[in-house]
Amino acid sequence: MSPSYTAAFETVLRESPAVARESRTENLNAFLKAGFPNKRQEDWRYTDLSPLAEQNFALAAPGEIPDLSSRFLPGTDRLVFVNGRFDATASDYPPGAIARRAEFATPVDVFEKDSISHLNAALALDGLALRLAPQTRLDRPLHVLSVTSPGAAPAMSHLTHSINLEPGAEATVIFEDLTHGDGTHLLTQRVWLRAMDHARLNVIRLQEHGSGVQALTRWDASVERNATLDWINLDLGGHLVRNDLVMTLAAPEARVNLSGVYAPGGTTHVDNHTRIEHFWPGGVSRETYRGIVKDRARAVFNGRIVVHPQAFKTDSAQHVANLLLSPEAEVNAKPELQIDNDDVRCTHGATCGQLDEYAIYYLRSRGIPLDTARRALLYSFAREVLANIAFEPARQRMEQALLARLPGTPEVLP
Amino acid sequence: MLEIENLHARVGDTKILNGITLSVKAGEVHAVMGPNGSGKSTLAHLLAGRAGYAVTEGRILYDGKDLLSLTPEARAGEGVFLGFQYPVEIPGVSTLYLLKTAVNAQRKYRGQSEIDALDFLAWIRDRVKKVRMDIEMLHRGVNEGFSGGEKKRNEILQMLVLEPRLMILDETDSGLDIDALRIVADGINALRSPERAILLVTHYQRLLEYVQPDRVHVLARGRIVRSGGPELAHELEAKGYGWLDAA
Amino acid sequence: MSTSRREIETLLRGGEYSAGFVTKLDADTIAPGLSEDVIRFISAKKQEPAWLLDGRLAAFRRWQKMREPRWAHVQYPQIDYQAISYYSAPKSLKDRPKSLAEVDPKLLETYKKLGIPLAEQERLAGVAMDVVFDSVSIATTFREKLREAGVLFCPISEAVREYPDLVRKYLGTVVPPGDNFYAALNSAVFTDGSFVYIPKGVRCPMELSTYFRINERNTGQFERTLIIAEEGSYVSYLEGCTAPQRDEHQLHAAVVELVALDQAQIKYSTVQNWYPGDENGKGGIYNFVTKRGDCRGRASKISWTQIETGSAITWKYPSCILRGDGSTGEFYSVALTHHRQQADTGTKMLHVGRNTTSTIVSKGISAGHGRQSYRGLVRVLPSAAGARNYTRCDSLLIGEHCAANTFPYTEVRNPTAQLEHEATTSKIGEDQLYYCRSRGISEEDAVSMVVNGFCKDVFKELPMEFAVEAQKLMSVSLEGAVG
Repeated sequence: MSPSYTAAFETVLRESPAVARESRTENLNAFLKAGFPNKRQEDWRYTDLSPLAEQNFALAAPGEIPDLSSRFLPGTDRLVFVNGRFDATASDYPPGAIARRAEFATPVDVFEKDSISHLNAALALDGLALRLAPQTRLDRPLHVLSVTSPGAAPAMSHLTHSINLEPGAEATVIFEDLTHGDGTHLLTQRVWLRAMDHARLNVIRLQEHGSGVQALTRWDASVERNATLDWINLDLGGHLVRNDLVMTLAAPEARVNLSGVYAPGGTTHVDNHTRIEHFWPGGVSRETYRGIVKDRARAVFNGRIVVHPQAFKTDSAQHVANLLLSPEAEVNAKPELQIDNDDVRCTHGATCGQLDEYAIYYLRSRGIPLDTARRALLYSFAREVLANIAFEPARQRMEQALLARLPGTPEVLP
Repeated sequence: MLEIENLHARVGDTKILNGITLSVKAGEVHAVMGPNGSGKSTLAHLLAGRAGYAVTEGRILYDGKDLLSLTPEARAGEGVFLGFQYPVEIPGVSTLYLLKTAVNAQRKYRGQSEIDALDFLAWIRDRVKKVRMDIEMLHRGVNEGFSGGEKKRNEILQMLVLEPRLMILDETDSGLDIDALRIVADGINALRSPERAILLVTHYQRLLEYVQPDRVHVLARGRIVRSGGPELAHELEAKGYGWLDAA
Repeated sequence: MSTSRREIETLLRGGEYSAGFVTKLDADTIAPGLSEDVIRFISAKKQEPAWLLDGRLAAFRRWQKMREPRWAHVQYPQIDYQAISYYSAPKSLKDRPKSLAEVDPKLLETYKKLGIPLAEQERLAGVAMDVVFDSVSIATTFREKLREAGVLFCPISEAVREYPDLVRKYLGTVVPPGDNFYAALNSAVFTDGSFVYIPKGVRCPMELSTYFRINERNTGQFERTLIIAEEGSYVSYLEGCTAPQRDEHQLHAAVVELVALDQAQIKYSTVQNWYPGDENGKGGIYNFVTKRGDCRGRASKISWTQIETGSAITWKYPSCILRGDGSTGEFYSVALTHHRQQADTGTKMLHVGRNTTSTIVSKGISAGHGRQSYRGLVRVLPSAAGARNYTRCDSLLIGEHCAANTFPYTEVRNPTAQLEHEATTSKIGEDQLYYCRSRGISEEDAVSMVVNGFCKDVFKELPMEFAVEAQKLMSVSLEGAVG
């Protein structure tokens, strides 16, 4: 293991209050012991992180960033992080429910912690901490911008966020990850989500990292009685992107709607590993993913649905569809069902193919050029997911970001 | 033939039937009408033996036997038939196979020998014609991919093949066009005889124009609120069910 | 729990394993243990050439360095490979009988009891049969008639002696000795199994079938089957398996290799009814099997159909390597786990050639405390332009203690490939059972009817006479359970 991780840890420790040091040390040791995951581990079969062990990532210094105002979303409050640290000038939010992460504010892991989570727990210095009191509502959606600004030498940054909705609370949070510059950077994020009874949590995430960024994000959600979590993700950039989702239906009658689009190009490797855990009766989960893979990009989708013995009347459906647009592109998909009781209705489907030639022909017969016809169909393929974003400015931002990356003439809007 | 005495039933904590008393003699046709949620289908399924209903009071006698103590298949063996409002699809099991198994199971129940395969086919062919179904359909999975009308005709076909003595037809007329309605009615009338009894459970009066009932009962909130002759059905058609709220 | 579910579970408790008897006869069984000496002993018994013995020893050395796979969703105690006897044969078979008339009547009686009257079989046309009893083949019927057509059908130990060039050319080329732990073990200690060779342009005039029987206590069965279909030929092959009812587990680790050359077709069907153990999971066969077909030729086709009702644990993934352009692989499977049975089964379809097609239909039924996993891999290599796959994977659950998992891997490296995967898991339809019962059909028959309907897409792939057999077997296995 490169000594840079321990070196970064020493720096972090100096900035940490004494009370946090023990926990950070334990996590660092656990990380060093386990190392980065490699292909021999089933969950990492298609994504090998072991090369990271030999790279030297210094803890990122606060970076230079350009004017971000064009990225601001109208009608939102805003929290901005640059290279893993809070940026007060660009942030704008009312005091109260929204706050920055405090040491030790993170919940306890329910599932076994992977080594990346240990690394994050050892090194993360900042992040969002949102807590809503019962029956309250975030007036405006919260926009969390995380900007990575790589310098000449490889660097890394880490963030830990938590969102806690108490019974009956409601919130919409938009996470946007972007990069300023081309250098090599490692970003790990850990996001804790909790929706207590009857709460409604809406999470939207747009990831547009630069081609030198390796972004590893782990999401843990606990959704409780009659609560609903809507989670929508769009992955567009990055060098290596991995999203690990563990969504737990932790009380009866919980509901989780999970969806995502990945549209990697270049040599991007994007891996979405989702896990939905049904522990209680009457849970409903829906999962929809769309993949558009071009150039020499690789996409991995692994969606696991687990229905535990007492989770009767579980209703779960999952679907993933992929389009492969180039001879060097690759898709590995594995939808899994693990069912431990008989009173369930679970389905999953996975497809991989091309655009429907007949539909292209149909559009062309109406006078639409081939290029536009393709773009229109690709766009509509992804829109099945993106159309579910209720907050209009966020939906527009994401649709435009996607369109800009689709093959063909960018100015042609379907 | 059928004596329903002060029948009370629940599903879970919800009371559905609140003391139904009804007597149907051999040779009679009774219509049970009522608005949605009045308990019509519950009554039909209680007669056929569906699980999930709790009878809290009262009893059902069929030929003097306690019907509620019998399994669904034993009731069929005794000659009870329910035409389902929503016939079930069973992929991979052909209607032909279902019927042959059912006929032989019922014959066995009655101490008769199995029916000869050729006799059975002849028997089926004759009845398939009556309901104007393509015999090809009987090779498909039971009700698999059938339209609503085809499913209902399949119910009538099964009834004609099994020749039950007590027929309960649960909304068999709903969703049918006029031609299909006539086929269904013809099927019911074909089995009308002094030894048999028919219970028509329906929302509308339409079917009753083709199958003349002897008695009409109006069910509301799990109770029979009125009984009368065929003219009662016309009255309902004219006035709707709204007046029941006042009753 | 609803009434009907409780009733189903009561029904499920029944179920008799009718093939559970033991044939008492003098057997030549070597002492338990595995060593190079044991392998030399087996090889000498079979009068094998040196190249085969060398191959066995190389596989054994390799196996010693390998670790038992633990990734499958099955649980069982560590197997003591030194406690198993690797060779057992009835003494009466010391010199292989030349005809059925010379076969020990006790053995013929055994097969008669299992529903395979060999003597009558020989007279009736239809199916040619090789019967393997513990470690040896005791008889092969219709050999002369097949030879007239140029078809070779004999025990593999005999083929090694009679057709060494053919065996040497193909053996181990589809499943190499180091392929996996059990394949390596099999390559070291395999005893008997069938060899089939269909010459160019020949359509095999009858169904070929092998019946595997484990009889002796503490033995393992390690059979090896090799089927070669030359250009433009066709063969349909079926295997059946049973074993006595015993309290201890027994190991069955087979390897099956199929080779289909240009436009050849091989249809391989299995009705696996090894002793499943009792309702508490005592006894039963560990069925750890490697089966793979190589569509080497253009437009060739290999089709696997399996009905898996037996065994305490099943671990098998009959696979197809679709090398030839335009070749086709198929996998149709019904797996039933009842009581404490466990199954981790599925298939691998490896698309190498252009315009290759694969179809996977898997139907799993879990009852009682049965647990099963479908595990499948569809891999499309960059060379496989125009590849197509359709996968349908359904699980039916009967009773609240059973479990079903689905792990379908798809790996696509060609943009012209089209893959489609669908899966459902649900409990047996109570409304379907009620509907059947309201027509006068008993609950047990209704369960059987619904389950057989659920499996129909697979049963229809079986040769006619075996389809009936399979339906009966399902009924017995679910007896009580799924009538």
